[in-house]
Formats: sequence, structure tokens, C-alpha cells
Amino acid sequence: MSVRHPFSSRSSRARARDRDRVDVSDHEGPLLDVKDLRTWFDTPAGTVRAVDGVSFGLDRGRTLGVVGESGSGKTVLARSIMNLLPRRTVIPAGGEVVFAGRNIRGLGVRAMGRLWGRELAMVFQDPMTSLNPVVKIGRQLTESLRHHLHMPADEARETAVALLASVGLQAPERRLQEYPHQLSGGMRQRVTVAIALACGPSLLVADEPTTALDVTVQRQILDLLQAQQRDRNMAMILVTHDLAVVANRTDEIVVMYAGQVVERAPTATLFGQMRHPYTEALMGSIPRIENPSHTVLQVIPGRPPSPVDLPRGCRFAPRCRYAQARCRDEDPPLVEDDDGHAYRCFFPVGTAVTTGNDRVEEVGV
Amino acid sequence: MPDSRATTPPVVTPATVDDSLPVGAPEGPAAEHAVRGNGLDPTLPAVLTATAGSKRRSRGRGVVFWLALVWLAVVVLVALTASWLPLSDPDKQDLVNRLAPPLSDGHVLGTDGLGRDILARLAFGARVSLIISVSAVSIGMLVGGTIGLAVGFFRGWFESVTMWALNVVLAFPGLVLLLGLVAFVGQSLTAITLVVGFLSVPVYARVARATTLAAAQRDYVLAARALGASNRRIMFGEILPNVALPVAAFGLVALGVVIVLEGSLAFLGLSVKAPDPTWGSMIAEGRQHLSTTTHLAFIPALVMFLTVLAVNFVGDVLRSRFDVRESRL
Repeated sequence: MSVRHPFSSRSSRARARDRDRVDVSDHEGPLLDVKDLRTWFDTPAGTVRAVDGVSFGLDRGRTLGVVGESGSGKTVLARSIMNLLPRRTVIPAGGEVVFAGRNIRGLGVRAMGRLWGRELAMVFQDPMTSLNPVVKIGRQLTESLRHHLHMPADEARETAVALLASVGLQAPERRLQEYPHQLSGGMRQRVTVAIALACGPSLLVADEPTTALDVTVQRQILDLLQAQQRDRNMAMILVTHDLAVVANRTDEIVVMYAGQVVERAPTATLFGQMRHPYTEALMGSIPRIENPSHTVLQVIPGRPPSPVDLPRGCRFAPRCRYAQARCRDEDPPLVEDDDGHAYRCFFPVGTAVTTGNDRVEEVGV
Repeated sequence: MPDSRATTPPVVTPATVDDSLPVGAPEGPAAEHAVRGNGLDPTLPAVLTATAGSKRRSRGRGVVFWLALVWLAVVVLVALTASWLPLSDPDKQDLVNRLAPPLSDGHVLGTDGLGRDILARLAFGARVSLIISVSAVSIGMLVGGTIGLAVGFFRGWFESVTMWALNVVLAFPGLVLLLGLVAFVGQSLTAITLVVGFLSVPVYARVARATTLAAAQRDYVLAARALGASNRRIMFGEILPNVALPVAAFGLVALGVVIVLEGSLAFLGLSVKAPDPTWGSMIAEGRQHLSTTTHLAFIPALVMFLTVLAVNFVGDVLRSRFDVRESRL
């Protein structure tokens, strides 16, 4: 297997270790195949169906965007894929997460320990809380290098400096000696990206990596993630509530609503021809710079349904402007057309029912 | 671009992303954006004022802090070197000069009821106070801290059983239990230290457990797990650094408490056996002469008071100084 770690010549011990590394490069087919994933929680209020039958595939070197409102199940989906959910509260409701040909759903901590950090890595939403406040940056960064790749201390240090430089931090040597509170939010998120990338994972899950950041820094972090993803030919799942974030940075997009995939399509197809009313409404709610000032923002009326008490029929029907009687009775299946464009709707955008009214004028698409 | 680098302030700010970055750094519009943002970086003044503010604060505490530190250093130094200092033998009785007042000839702080030199007895008594307080606090911190960390991390029935046992120990009236145990184990320095140390274990365990419970739920623990850290590494690498500080802060306060506790034991005649001097037993002996000469009880009481005060003060300052918590993020 080729050494995917780009920064240093490896010690013989590290090379020896590589041999018993979980080898994903030989695997044919998609790197990640999520099949009918269901993650339910047992709570005093009832069973929360946070993720309820999600399926998608992801090839190496590709980027998938997962978009949805707060509470749509994005974060639980990300953590389910990573196998990071607290075991005590999760109901094993089924589904598979096939990573490099192997189902990792429900694997124990010991088995996951070989994948976490080395093959699967994660960037969390808030760098204020995902970095340990009382541990120096250097140690947080070299920990997994030393543990997984068995680097000696000085080699790990050099690699850490190279990593910090590659994520765009200046004076990386000095940063190693600093604590997280000495860095700004954007710099901290750069550090968490460097930590996640340290062992050269083949899949990076970024869970709302820019939500907690200043607007000016958001774009830098997204550019950084995209550049790293390309350089390393790594697969990436970019979870966000913002369609604009994923528009130019993903190969495929999954739109989630109430724990389900409501639309899934290659990025260009989705933006060219969105079929699900929810995607359309999300798109319509983005304020536009060319609109005159004081234009009333388009909002999606109502709130997402309670995950313990989901409505009958289509879960979006109560908020859908095109909903018909059938939508409130039957649960629409996820149908896929020839272009690989899947949507969960009886009356998709662009068909007779939805074009019958004045949607173009009102939504302003 | 070279211009922008020339105007880059020495403090690296979040927006300082210039063209010296290696491959993989944001390029094009993002970099441009960053450089433009540099000119009116809103975070810079905030950073500067924050730093200046904290410096001023620590300087304001300076004088008293340094006085306390010097006092503690003197006490520790005297305790360590008492045998070599030009002091008279603390047990040597000078019956002619009994109850000599301070500043009398040959006895700087005077003599006690048996004509023993008070300064010498204070110096040797400092040893007892220091050994008992430091060792007992260390035992409590190590044992209690480990128990608290383990139960807070692993939870489950292990936690319920341990906390129940610790609560039982805590529910006993401390001094009475201490008296009983010392009477049972004996009055040696080691025995007293061990008893005081183990009796304080539940308190440290509770502090450590509470902090562990809070820390274990933070994202950085989840992030460490997502990097493949084992339970052991999460416990000692991620959580322990967060727990150590509150426990140590508590231990610093406890140092003073233990010094006073030793005094109470000595006052009741249950500390180190006579004639070995301790501050507590000196106060107890001075009590007999309170009606005629006050300095016998007053001098050791003052020394103990100043030492406990200094410990608490230094502890307080050190705690706030090393407290790198979310509040400062």
C-alpha cells in the first residue's frame, strides 16, 4: 500500500505498523455505502426517530453534502456513520454502514479504534469545545500520530509543524506550545482540521464545520477543507444547514428532512432542477444580493415535526405549499430517475400540480 | 501581496493569511478576502486590551502575594534546615530563664514554662506542621482524585457503590473519628499523617468526580474518541488535565485546614508525643500561663495564623492564574 501520509519519511516501525493497517485502497466499489440507516433514541418522551432510513453511497475522492434544518437528523447521521453515539440510549433499529466493504455499524470501541483517526476522521462544529482547553496544541496534534503511526516524538513534532503549516497557520512551531484559548476561532478550527487530517484518513466527516465561526472565516475554512480533500484524494461528508455552503464544493447533495432523505442528486442536477418542494423552499429562503433592500425574506412556514410524533403521510406535507390530500395519507417513497436524481415526493416541483400556481413569481427562483 | 505582508501586525490574527502559505492553503478569492480583512481586523484591539487587563490585575495582587510567598518560603526553609541553624536545642530546659519575655538575652522570642527556647521550638514545630499537611493532602489528592476520576468516567454500579461508601465515611463526625483512630493507631507522625490523609479522601473524590462528569461530556472527549483514543488515554490525557486543577486548588486550601487540624489534635494532646514540639502543642502549653504571660500561646498562634493565611492567599492567586478554562476562551 502506498504511504498516504504526505509529510514525512516514515520510521520502520511505522511502516511495519502500516502492514496491519486496515487496508481500504484495494477495495472495489464505493468507499462508503450507507444502507437504510436507522438511528432511534429511547427517551422519556418516546422513541425519537432521528435518522430514519437513510441510504447513499460515496466514492473515494468525492464530496457529499448533507443539508437540512436544525433537527433534521444531520448530526446524528454523521455520528452514526462514525459510530460515535452513546450506546446506552440508541435503539438498534437497523441499517448498514459499509465502509470499504465491511459493515462497521455497531462495531465495538476496540474494533472502531483501528478505524477512528486512521480511516475515519471528524471535524466538529465548535472549535471552542472540540479542543481541550488545558492541553497544548502540540500534544493534541501529535497524540494520534504517535499512537496510530508510532512516530517517535521528534518526528511527530516535525509532522505536526508541517500539518499546521498546511492548514494555513503561521508560525506553526510556536503554535505547538500554545493553548487553544490563545488562538482565534478560525485558527482553532484550522487546528481541528489539522488534527483530523493527521493520520491521513480516507473519509472525513465535517459536521457543520463553519457554523460557529465568523462569516469572514467560514469561507477560508471551507476552502481549506476542499483543498485538503482534493490534495489527499479523500472522501468527505460536509454537513451543513446552508445550501450555499455546499453549492460549489460537493459532487452530490443529500437533503434531509425529519430524519429522511427527501432529495438526493449530483450537485449540478440538484441546483439545475430541484424536484422536492422542501429543497425549493430552502433555496428560496436564501436572501439574494440583487433583491432590493427591505425585501421580505422567504421563510418556510411552520416548524419541523417532532421526531417522537411524526405526521401521517409525507413528513413535509404540513408545511408544503403544494400538498394534496394524498400527501397527508400516504408516505411517498424515495424514487430515483435515470440521472441518479432521487426525491421523495408525489408531486415534484416542475410537474402539473406545482406549476399550476404562481410559484416562479413568488419564490423568485 | 508583499505590501500586505509588510503591514501585517506582529500579532498573528485570524485573518492573517498571506501568500507565504504552503500548498493547500486557501487561495484566490479567500486569500484576497483575508488580506483585505487585515486592515480593519476587529479582533486585534480586543486581544491587546484583554492581555493588558490581565497583566494589570496580576500586578495589583503583587505585594501581598509576594509577602505571602516570602513568608511561606521562610517557613519551609527554616523547617528544612532547622537542625543546622544556630538555634538552641528545642528540648533543652533553661530553668533559670523560665518564661523569659521576647528579645531577652539569648532567647529572641523568649522561653516557655520550662525555659525552652520558643524560636527553636517554632522552627522544629514547623517540620511537623509541614510534613503532616503536605503528606496528608498528597495522599488525599492522589487516592481521592484517582477514585473520583475513575467513578466519574466509568459510571455504572461501580460509581454507586463507591460513592455510597465515601458518603458513609463523610457522614462520620470528622474530629471524633480522627480522635478514635489516632488513639487506636498511635501517636506517631506517620500514623497521624495517614489517618488525616485517608479521612480526606472522600472530599477529593467528590470534587474529582464532579469535574470528571462535566469534562467527560465535552466535545473534545468525543473528538479524542473519534481519533481512536482508548479509554485510558481519554481518562489521563483529556480529562485528567481538566480535573487536576480544581482538585489541586482544593488541596491548596486543604493545606491550611490540615495545619489547623494538627493544631487541634495537639491541643487535645493527641498529636506527636511530647516533648517533640508542634505549633499546636506549644499553644496548648502556653494556655497554662495565659494569665501571666501571653506570648507563650500568642507567638505560635500568630505563626500558625500567618502560615495558613499565606497558604490560602498563594493558593487563591495560583488557582486563578493557572485557571485556563472556558471562561477565558
